[in-house]
Amino acid sequence: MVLPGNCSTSAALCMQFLTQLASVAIDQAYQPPQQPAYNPHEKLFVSYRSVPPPGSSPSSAAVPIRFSSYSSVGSNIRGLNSPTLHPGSIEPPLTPGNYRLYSMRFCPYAQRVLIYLAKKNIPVEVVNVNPDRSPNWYLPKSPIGRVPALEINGKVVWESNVIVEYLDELFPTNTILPRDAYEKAHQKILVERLSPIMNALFEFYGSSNNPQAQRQNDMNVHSALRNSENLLRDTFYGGRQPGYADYLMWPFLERLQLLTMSPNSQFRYFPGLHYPKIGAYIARMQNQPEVLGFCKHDFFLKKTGEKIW
Amino acid sequence: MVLTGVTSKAIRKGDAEPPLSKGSFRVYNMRFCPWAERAMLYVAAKGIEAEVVNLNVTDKLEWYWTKHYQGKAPAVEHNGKVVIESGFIPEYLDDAFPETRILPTDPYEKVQQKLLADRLTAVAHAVPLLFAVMRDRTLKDEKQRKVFEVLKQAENLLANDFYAGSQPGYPDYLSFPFFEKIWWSASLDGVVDLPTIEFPGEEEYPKLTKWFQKMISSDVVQSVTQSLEHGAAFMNAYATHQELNYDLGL
Repeated sequence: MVLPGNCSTSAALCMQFLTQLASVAIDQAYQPPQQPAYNPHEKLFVSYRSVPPPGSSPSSAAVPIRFSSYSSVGSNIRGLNSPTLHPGSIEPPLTPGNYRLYSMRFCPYAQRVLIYLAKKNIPVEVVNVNPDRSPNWYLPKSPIGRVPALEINGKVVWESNVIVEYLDELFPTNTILPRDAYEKAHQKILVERLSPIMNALFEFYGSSNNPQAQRQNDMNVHSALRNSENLLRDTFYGGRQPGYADYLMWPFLERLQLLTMSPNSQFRYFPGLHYPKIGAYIARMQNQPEVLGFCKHDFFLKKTGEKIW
Repeated sequence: MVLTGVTSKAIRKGDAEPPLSKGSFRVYNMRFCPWAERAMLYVAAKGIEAEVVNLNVTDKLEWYWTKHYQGKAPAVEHNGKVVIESGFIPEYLDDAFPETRILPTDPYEKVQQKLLADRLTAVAHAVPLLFAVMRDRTLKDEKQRKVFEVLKQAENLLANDFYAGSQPGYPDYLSFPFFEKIWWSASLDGVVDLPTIEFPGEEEYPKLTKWFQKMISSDVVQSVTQSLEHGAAFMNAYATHQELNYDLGL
């Protein structure tokens, strides 16, 4: 569905979008969680051999029934919820010719790469590491132990935006970035222009709880949402289908929804009636199979709410 | 020289948009801006015949907002299409003009150079520290210590004559403008204890000193850069919030 080009969408249409958004959230919330494949009693070294081979469903996926035809999306990713490796851990062996993504389960930058990998269906093993205190064997792979990092045959690449472009070059048959030089540059510029979403998220989590800071945070979010609404000129930022800009910005937009849980924010609904295109966009993105497999929303509602609010 | 208009006067609010004929290439530049210099260096290195339009970015042009949403430099325009952001323009130029590609075509080699350029952005972040010293000389010892750390890291990252290998490439052109700004700062009294001759210093940074001399004396850099004297004066005015003369030295 193509949204009207102007900002005069009727309230009824807004409510329709919000209802759809709410039903998606409720639908996900009622999915029973699957038991993780990891057996905590197995030794760490052995556990990687017991990880199911490619082709089986990822251990964390709770794919809604109505998307059963997409159940294979994300099946290329193993070890999504493997236990985090800390200092003192042994480096898991990596078979030559296999890809490994060093990740942290709640890192939005790593999630960018995971969505890309799921969309491109590239077989990969995920190893979660503690980026605050990295294992000694990890530090030579990535400067100051940052995640995400992608490794194959002893070669390591880091920086989420560099990794995803690298994946498009390695597997060009299902490239996500446009091939046209200008369109490709435009997608990158879009990510830059949408970056107020990221900034608003970090400022919200990083600021104090005094009323003045709270008002400023809400203003920043409104400003970022107005900007995002203006820049959305098609079904997705990538055009008729989600693209590079959508996948790189989604993890931050997903997390920004948590504002509604905070007593420090005036947001009771996200994004609210003022941003109808973004509201519909969020509903569409949440229904993308490659996004659904890595949805952090419900988990965050539960865990982040417990810890922060 | 394939670049025309490098020393043209900066256009400002009220000036009409110069016509750009079909097939022609234009770079919107600010002469003393390190981010714009990245694009200028890349255009020059690729040998693209381009017209340079210098902008007064304080007194912003009305029509330029449709090309850059923040009214800043750099931007490149070609056949009605505008690309902005100094981080994206170089790769766009390599994609659009592949016959003079600077980045390697091998995916892993290409990524290595992009990551190297990313690590060298620490030099870009060091420049504002020196702006702070220009405003308040008492901050010198504290700020220049960090600048020295950054230069040491840059020295360690230099494994060959150039960051890209035996010839200058992507990481060299993207980081050079910021080394140059530190060099300009070194010529001002009491800002940073670094030499302007044989910058940044053979004793502490032997590889980097050789690299900088090769870069500053190259045809590519000389075709787009400004003199030490004018660059330092402009930087000082910028840092201390004085009125800016975009046509300084013309």
